[in-house]
Amino acid sequence: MIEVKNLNYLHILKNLNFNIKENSITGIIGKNGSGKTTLLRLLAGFIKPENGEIFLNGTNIIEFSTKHIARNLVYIPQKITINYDIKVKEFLFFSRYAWADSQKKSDNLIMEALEKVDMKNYINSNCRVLSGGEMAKIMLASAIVQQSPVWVLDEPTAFLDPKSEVDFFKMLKKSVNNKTVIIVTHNLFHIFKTATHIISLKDGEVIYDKKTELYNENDLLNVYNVKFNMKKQGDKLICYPES
Amino acid sequence: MLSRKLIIKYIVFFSICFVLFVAALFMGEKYNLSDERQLTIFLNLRLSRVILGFLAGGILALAGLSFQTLFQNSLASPFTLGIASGASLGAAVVMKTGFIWIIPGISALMAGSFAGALLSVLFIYTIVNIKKSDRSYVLLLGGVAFNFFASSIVLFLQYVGDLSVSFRLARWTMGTLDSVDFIPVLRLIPFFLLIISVSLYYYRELDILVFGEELAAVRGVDVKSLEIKFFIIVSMAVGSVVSLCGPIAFVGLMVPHIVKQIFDIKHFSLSIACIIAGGSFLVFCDGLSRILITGSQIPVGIITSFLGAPFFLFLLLKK
Repeated sequence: MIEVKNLNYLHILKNLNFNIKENSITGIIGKNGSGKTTLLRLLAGFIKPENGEIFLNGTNIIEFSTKHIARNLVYIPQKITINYDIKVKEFLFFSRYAWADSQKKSDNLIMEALEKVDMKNYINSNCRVLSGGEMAKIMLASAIVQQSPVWVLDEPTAFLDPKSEVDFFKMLKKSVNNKTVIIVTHNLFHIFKTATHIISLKDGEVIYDKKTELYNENDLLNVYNVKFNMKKQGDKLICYPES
Repeated sequence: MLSRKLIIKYIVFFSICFVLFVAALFMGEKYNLSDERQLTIFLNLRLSRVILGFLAGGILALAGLSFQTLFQNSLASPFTLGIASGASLGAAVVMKTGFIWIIPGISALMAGSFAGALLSVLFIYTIVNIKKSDRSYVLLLGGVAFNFFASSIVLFLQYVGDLSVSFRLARWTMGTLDSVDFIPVLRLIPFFLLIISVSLYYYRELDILVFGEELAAVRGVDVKSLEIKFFIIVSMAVGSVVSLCGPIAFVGLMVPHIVKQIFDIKHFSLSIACIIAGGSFLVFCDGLSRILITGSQIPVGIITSFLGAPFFLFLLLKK
């Protein structure tokens, strides 16, 4: 689905090579400054690689128009600041920009998406007055409405309280059937429960690229220079830093 | 469906604009419209001037609105971004050199203004693309720097020019709507239609851009190409206004803000409201310029700046 080949960007990313399979959830972890956000910005087409290539379904993304990228990939930023009054349904309508379809179809998609994230009653609310947690769910709904097969999320829960964070990951899991998801986060608890694969970056290089269940305490020590405890709970790994 | 409150808002807003426009037609020297000779003078001097003012004000306000949205900066306007000064510089060079142009419909002064406006746009766009961080900040400061640079050359040309050129330049840089026939109006109409068409055609892209360049790109808006289109068309339209009326300050900055206070941020209706409000405001200021000092006409740029500068400070403090 996504193929990254010899990707370099300034001194931030050094010769990255990895593949992301269709319908997988890939976590990208690493210390601050390890190049995670730059990698996501490259994947989303905001910046162009210095050298190296990113292929989406076999085509180099620099050959795609902005609209074409939007039809294939949606990016959810850390935080979005809404400075003007706008209704939730109007905000979600923006997600249909890349598609030329009828108002009725867009309205139906918006309604379905809001139902999926439990925000149906907010359809006519003003985005400006929503809490951080509610807005995060609206951003999920916007990704659903955009109907792109690839979702790229950059620390989507960085500013959320624990309850909103739990809700967000629940909604995410519910919404990503048949989607390929790439998510950058510092929340190892949630990402180990959610992701099928995890890629670890250190100083701009990929040091691990493997299935989530194959990670061990030493790997995390190497990534973060902090000792983590890991234990199995069902088929999932739970990890938390040692105090 | 429009709510009742919104309908009343629209009616009040457009009525005020209409009253300002009509009042401006009759401000200043009185004409007896039943007299054929006076009617001809009224049509050629007053009506042409009022229409010219309306078109110029509309263009400047729309230019300000699109720049404020494109760069997500409430202080962006053709003036603060240095485009008006660039156009002034181009026009001043033409005045000083006495360059003559033979393409019908576009005067040498207009061509000079276009060149100056495009030059300033090129300068600002290059600066913004070189220094990729703090885009909005760099854009504004780059524009201010270019403003000073262009103004210094205009002042220099004024200083070294002979008395008649210097006087013409000094008077022209104050901004004025002097016209004696409909030729300036005819020259401005294509640019007026061009900027309106582009603003209305791209209203959806502008609506998304209000929430940030990144979000717009994620939704599929080609922000770079939109910026270039707007830069070229807005600078041509502002260049044409400057060549005909001089650099009229603050209409492009303050009118979009007033309109945004009244209406929701939806660029289709905002653009129309900006044209009507910008046009009526400039025409009304021009009316004031005819009545404030008996027997004399103050250049309209003095009035727009006099009203605009305190508003600019208000915005800064509010921010």
